[in-house]
Amino acid sequence: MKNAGAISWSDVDSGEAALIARCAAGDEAACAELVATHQRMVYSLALNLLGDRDEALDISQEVFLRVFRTLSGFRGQSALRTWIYRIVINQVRNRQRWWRRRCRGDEVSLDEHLKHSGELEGKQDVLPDRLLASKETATYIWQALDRLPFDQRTALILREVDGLRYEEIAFSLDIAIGTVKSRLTRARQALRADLLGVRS
Amino acid sequence: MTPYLGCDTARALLDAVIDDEWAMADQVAVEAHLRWCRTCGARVEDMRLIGASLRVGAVRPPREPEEARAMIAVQAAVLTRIGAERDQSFGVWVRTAFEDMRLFWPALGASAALIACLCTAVGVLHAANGESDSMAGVMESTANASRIKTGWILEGVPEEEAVFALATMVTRGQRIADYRMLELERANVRRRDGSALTADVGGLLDAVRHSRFAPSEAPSDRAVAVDMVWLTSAPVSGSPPLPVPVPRRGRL
Repeated sequence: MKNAGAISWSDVDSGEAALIARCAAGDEAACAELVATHQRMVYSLALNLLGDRDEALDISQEVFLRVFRTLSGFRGQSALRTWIYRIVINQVRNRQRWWRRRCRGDEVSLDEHLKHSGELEGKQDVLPDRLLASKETATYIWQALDRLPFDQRTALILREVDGLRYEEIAFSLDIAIGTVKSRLTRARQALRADLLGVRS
Repeated sequence: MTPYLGCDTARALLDAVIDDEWAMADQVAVEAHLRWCRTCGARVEDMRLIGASLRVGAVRPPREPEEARAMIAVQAAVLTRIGAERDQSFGVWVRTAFEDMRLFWPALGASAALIACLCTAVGVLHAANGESDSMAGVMESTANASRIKTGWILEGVPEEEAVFALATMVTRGQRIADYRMLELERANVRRRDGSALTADVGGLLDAVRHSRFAPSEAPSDRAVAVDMVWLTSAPVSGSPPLPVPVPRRGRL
């Protein structure tokens, strides 16, 4: 780990630490609780990164298997959620490499993305008129996002969609915080250039 | 007084502004810059619009019942597989193996006895053959039972049975004038290194050569030279001792 701040076990919630201990001891109920707690987060991140529902479900399964196999090695160096993010990203990266080796292409069309994601959802802090305006904009933005390099796309999704802080993104991607900033800057510049192209 | 911030410097800080990760020292300067710089202000608005669009377009699973069912299936599959892996793990296998301790101590005792027997057998073999503990060494020792460590190898005969026959001539001056080896009864006597025995008979012959004998006397009381045949047996191990001559008089 380069620059991500070190977080000790004291930073991990006591209830979460107890859950981890129970899971490591083989408590099946605890394992089920851990999966239920983080499954949506894992699935949505995998789906946003891959754009394929079946692949995202498959990745979810692989991620939790990996989590339970390596949980005994978790030393509280981050929050459990951040640690799981890291596993998700590594699994997705491996899957994309596997795709590239088989020349299936790593691009997912916007139609396919919208087909899987359904209607665009709004957030409570977005006004309805702004939401209407954003639907079309979001279409272009996601289209442009799919063309970004994986590292930039991942950093931007972790920041904008999942709301991770720089430090957490750095841990999840196993990079320095400065690298996180530069990737976010480049990703936003590329998307802004596409946005300006659409406007013009 | 608010420090002046140029566009280049401000743009380097805009991402931190968007992400709310800026330092307090920069906050005042950037906000002041954004109040008068429309270009940077528009850039911030665009980046906020990009973030909002990403959040709007992001997937919020699961909404459909079949997707929820799929996630439940994933959860069940994960738990089943993890349980199976734990059942197959080495630790579980060891715990299962030691659940029933009835046969553990007898098995431990039998193992210890077996090890003790093996150690004893190896020790006996080692003591019986100091040359080598290996099976090859044991086999070689058995095959070469006639090997004697003194340096000679006598094939099939005891060492004292090696017999030399020498022909000498005793002169009137009581000396050995000439000698030659007629026969070495056991020609297969060899040194351990394979060299011929004759190379080591020099000591024996020197002893013969330096021997002195009373000359044989003829009926006319005149000393005569005689030929003599030595038949001597000498041990061939170690340093050969002087032969015990068995002179046989006779005329040749």
